[in-house]
Amino acid sequence: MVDMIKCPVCGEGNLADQEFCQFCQSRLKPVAGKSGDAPLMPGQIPTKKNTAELEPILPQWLKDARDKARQSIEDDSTRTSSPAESHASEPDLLAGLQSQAGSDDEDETPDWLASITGESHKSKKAPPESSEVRWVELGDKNDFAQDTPQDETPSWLAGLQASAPAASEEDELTDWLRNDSESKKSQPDTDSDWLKNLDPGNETPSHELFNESNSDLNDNASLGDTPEWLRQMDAQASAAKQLEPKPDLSDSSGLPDWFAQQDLPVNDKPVSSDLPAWLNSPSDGDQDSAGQPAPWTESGTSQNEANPDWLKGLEPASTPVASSDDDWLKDLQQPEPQETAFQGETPSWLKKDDFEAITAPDVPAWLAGDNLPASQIHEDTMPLEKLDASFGDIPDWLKAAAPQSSVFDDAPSEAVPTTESSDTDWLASFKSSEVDLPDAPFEKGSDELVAAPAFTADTFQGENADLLFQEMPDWLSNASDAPPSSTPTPITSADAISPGELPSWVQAMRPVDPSGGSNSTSLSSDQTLETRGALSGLQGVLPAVPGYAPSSKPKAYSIRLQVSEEQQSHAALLEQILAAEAEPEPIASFLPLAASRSLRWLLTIVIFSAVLGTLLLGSQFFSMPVGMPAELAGALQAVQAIPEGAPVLVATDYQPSLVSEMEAAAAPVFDQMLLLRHPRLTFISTSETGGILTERFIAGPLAGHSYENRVTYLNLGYLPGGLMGIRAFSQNPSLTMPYDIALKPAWDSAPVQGVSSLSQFAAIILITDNADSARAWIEQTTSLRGSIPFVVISSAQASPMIQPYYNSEQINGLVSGLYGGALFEQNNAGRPGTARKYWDAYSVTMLLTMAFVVVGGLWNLALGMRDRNSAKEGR
Amino acid sequence: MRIITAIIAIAVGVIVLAGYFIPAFADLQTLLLNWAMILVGMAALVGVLNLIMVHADKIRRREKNSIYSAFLIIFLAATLLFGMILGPGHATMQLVLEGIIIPVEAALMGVLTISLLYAAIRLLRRRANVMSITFLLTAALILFGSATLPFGDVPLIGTLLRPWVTQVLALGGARGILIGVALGSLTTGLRVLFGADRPYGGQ
Repeated sequence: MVDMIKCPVCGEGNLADQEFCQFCQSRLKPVAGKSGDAPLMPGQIPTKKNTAELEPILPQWLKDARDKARQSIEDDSTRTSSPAESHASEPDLLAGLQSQAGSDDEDETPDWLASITGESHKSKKAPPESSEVRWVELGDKNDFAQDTPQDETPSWLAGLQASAPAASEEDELTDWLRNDSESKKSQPDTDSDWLKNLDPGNETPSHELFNESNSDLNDNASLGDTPEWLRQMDAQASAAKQLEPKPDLSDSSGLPDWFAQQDLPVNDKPVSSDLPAWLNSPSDGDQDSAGQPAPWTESGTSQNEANPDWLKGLEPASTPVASSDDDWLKDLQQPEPQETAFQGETPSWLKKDDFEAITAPDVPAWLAGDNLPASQIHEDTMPLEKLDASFGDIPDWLKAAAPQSSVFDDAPSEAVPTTESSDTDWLASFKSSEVDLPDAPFEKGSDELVAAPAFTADTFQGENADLLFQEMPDWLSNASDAPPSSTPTPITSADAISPGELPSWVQAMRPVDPSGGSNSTSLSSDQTLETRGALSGLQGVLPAVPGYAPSSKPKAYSIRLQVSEEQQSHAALLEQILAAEAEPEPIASFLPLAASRSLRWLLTIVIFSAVLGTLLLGSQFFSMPVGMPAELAGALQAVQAIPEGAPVLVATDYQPSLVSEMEAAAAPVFDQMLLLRHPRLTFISTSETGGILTERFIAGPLAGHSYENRVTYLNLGYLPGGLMGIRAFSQNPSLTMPYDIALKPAWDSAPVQGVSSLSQFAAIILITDNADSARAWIEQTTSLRGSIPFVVISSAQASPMIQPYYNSEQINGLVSGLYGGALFEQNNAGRPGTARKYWDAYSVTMLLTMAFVVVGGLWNLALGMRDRNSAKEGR
Repeated sequence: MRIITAIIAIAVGVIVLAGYFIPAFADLQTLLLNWAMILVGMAALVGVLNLIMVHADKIRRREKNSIYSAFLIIFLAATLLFGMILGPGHATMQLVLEGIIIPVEAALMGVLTISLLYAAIRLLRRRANVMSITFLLTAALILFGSATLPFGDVPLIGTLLRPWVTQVLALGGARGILIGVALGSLTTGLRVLFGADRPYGGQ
């Protein structure tokens, strides 16, 4: 599959190997730069380059041309008196090309240049190297390969070819050119005849040629091959010819001014306004030719008005400038060389009569303009419109290749010094050899015209040489840099257009960096490849300009928090507050008090001594308590209310440690009850040791009543389950505790005869040292016991917790501790006397204890105050 | 499983509670309570077995003071054996009670008495504040009011101040404690009934 490239301008597809679009002639591939194959970037300033370095790479044909030019200059210096000789050898810009045509590298001579120089074209087909001038300028040789061969030479250029074109070329020449070539000796029948008359090979005087050509303009019938622009000019000329009388010789408005000036004598002879001045000038002596209207001139305008500015420089020598510029034109009529004040500024080859070969219509105006002295060109400041008009005869393809305005855009004031500095060595050699070169008179003759050099001796004299090479189109000058290759060579970094070698007109269009060249240099050298962002893949789009880049090391900013002292103090305060919140509050510690072993032994000895002494002595020193508390009275009443021989449920729930207190408190109650009512007692205990303690209680304090097990009393033993057991026993005693402590059936024994429920007991007496136990028995039996009396005998420590039940009438009486037993015993006439036996010891111990607490408390209080005071003093 | 246990616990609780107000549930309540008493008895037995295993482990590992563990196990087994064989009302069992259990516990109570007295004496040296002083003064007042003098009760203290303290101040405090206990028991029972508290597991 053939690779196609889409034209970025017209969008048409082109072959990949094409450089220019075959439809719009636009460039398909960007022009590669010298280094890095990168084109000149916007903002970059072409680096100036010493062209001397390019000397070795000059094409051979150009080198030969330069050598011949030097040689011809040297010859001219020796043949100053024979302008005819120098005419053939005068160096010219294109003469070198011409001279090169005769060499081995003649193939490299462009055809059109060969035509200009009047060299007879060889039959050999021009090699494509002849177009290097163009493709080098535009970057690719192949771009114009199709235009450059002689076969494809435009017809207007074909007319510039040698008088004897090769037969092989004739078929490709247009008819009018072919006729032109044939009409060297006959009447020209085409519009191009007048151009061909400019052929140096034609011996016909130029003015005659112009006359003939002008007369034959209307007779041109073979316009088929005539270019459009020539046809239009022809039509205009015909119209002018019909409308106007045959112009006077003085009327040169139809001719280009510069040409007309050639016809004019030195004394300001008027020329025809119908002809271009540059055509009128050669035909100055021929009235007929002068009267022919030039097809491309503007009728009705004055000479100066019709002439472009750049042609105004060719005006007759009415002014010093014009006279100086017209020297080369004057040579057309004055074979002898004329030395003028400005001769040095006018190329000698332009002063010759064979200027037609150079400045004839077949020479592009832009190229003709190059022949003008640069100073004159710039001084006249040719308008751009006129300049464009002068380029109207340039084919499009050549327009694209030729710099049209850049040559003239450069200010002379700038161009001159730059030329001096930028001239290449080989140009310098030209200048060195131009010192004594006389003006080469322009001699008519085909040989001379054919050999008309592009450079004359005066061309290289003084400033003219500089200006000439200065104003030489860059593209053309660059053509000399092209390698002398017979085949199109790709542009490499060595021969490609470098930024410093850009044409001046391109340089003039470039943006100027006001910052200076140093920055631009760094700019152009910065080809950083963008790797990220939207510009990824682009190179040098964001050059680092030294002027804008940081000139010093970036300032280092501390990462330390910048806070003021006040802020720091506030932060410290906040930190302290937060730390205080999290810090545990210290607990005031106390020095461990040394155990007062002596005190403990003292207390033990005193208490045991008092108790043991009192008990062992059996003293009854202390009086029994007096009074009858209400709860005690209720207990007494309840006991006394028990029927004779009635079953009484006795719940014993106390610990062995308190057995003495409990038996001392319960014995008076049971003594009175057993003595008076002879109840049948059923003992049950919620304590594991309750059953044994019951046996101890019966065998101890109640031993005098002769109660027997399963006869007068029944010991059911331990009731498990706590509250649940009490509740269950209350609901169904026989079901809950079917057996007694001896694991015998309990409910068929005598003590429980007729008792199947709790309410069938005559009274419930609870002996407990635990308030919880009392609460459980009281609460769990409230709804089941009915109205039977409930008496609680408790320890002294539990009485406060049971007292509320008495006050709430949930129990009928309460006997608490030894104190209660002593009170109850007093109602039994002192029987059994258990309370009284313990009462002295109890009272003594209570008093001693009270005394120890008070005295010892005060003593230790004083010691504590001393310690605290000493501690404060120590702090 | 937790749901099942909760349902069982709540149902039993509701039935037992209903047995207090509805006589029809009394028998069912009694049955459940008897089951509970059996479980409590078994729990006590399990506790005794656990006690034997712990101290047996100490003896096996020959830990410090393991001799006491050996004594515990020996006398536990002997008491159990004698109690099951002779019965609790046997003279031997009464001797064990009179010679070992009651003197030991009574001695502990006497040591407690001396310790409390010693602490009361040293209290003001360590913490001489109003509460401590009040505590000591109240204790001294009750002790002094509980005793009698050779000529009768301690005047004003034994006849007026001590009864007022015991029947008013102490009774007030005791009532408050009992009310609090009752409310706590009610709340605890309701939480158990509603399943908020699951002392039986699954919490």
